[in-house]
Amino acid sequence: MSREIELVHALADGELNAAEEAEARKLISENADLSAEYEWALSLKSALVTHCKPIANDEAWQRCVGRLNELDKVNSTESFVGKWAWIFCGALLLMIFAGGIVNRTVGSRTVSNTQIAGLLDPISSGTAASKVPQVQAAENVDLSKFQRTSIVGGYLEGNRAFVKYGLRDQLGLSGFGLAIIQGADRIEGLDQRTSNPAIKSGQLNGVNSVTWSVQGNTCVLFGERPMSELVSFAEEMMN
Amino acid sequence: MLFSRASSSRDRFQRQAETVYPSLFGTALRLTRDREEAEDLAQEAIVRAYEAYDRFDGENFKAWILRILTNLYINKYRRRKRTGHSISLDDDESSYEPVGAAEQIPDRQLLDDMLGAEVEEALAQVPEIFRIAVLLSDLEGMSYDEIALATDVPVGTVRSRIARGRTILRRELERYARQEGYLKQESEK
Repeated sequence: MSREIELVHALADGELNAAEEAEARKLISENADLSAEYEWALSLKSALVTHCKPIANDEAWQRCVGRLNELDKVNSTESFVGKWAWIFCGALLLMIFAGGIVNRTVGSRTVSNTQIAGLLDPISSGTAASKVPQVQAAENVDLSKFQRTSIVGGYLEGNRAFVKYGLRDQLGLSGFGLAIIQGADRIEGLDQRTSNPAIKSGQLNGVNSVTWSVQGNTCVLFGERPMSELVSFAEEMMN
Repeated sequence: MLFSRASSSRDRFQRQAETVYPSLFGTALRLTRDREEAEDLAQEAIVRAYEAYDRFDGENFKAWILRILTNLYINKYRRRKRTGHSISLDDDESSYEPVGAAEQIPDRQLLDDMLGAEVEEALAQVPEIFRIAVLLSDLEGMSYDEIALATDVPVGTVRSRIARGRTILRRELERYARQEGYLKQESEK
């Protein structure tokens, strides 16, 4: 019986092929129960359409529109980033590369302590005195109260000229030196304040050092001396 | 250029979706029988449809989006629900119990006289596997082929589910009709 009933309902839905439709219509005409079933199927379909309407819900629809807006926003951001990501990355790499070059050549006026480490030995070798590069600031450093025991010069990484003097104080004690570095205004690691605001102190490779600027160049006084003594020597050289 | 094309596609989708939304929400509500869940289900279907809009063949938007909603319901929402009904999906002759002889057919006017809420309530009593098929066929006008695609079953199964669903719905309506006095009780016959 189930097949016949299914046929009758499918007939009501117009879902049968010609042969099945003929069979269904024959069944209906011959069987009162199936005829009643067919009538009911049609009535039910009509009742459902009449009584079960689509349900409007503006509030819920507006929330859907909100979700779509969010989705659009996310998609457009993702698409923008996805499309231009390689350019962003390229530009970033370029900036890092260019920054590195600028830093190495003209940009930074800071001398790293690794660059200066080789200067810290007061008796280290350097170029002969006749070939020491001209460092103008050297003329503005007053060494009249000190005795020069050696002079060496050369170039730091980044083509910064320097000149270094081995010195002896008025008591005849040596063991300290002065380096003047062209085109630098800061020595990495020498940042501590001293009693003189123009002089900064610190240690380079464990050696007490003080630094100050002269006409855009940097002087570094270093040696196995107390920091206060180095500061007072520096003040004498600044006068 | 890119943005204007995307925006026109969005506008087209929104216009079509807005038109079918009452049907979509109605179907969702009749499936879930819970307003909040129905709103979530309909919204999820809209979002999924929007994401897949470039794959829409342009033929029948309503059938397409109802298919998405039905799939979503079957795969996601129905798992969460505990149905109170337990019914065999195998052929069960009792669920095909014919309506009776021609002289016993209740007046066709009966169904028209019933209130929408009563019909909705009777529909809600139909086990969902059959209710889905009846809803898509009778309320949304989908063909058996489209329903088969939406519910991922063969057309023969759709045909069977619709017949059985209507038979169960008929019983529920008769019960309501007797309860409300549209039909005389069996004992009064």
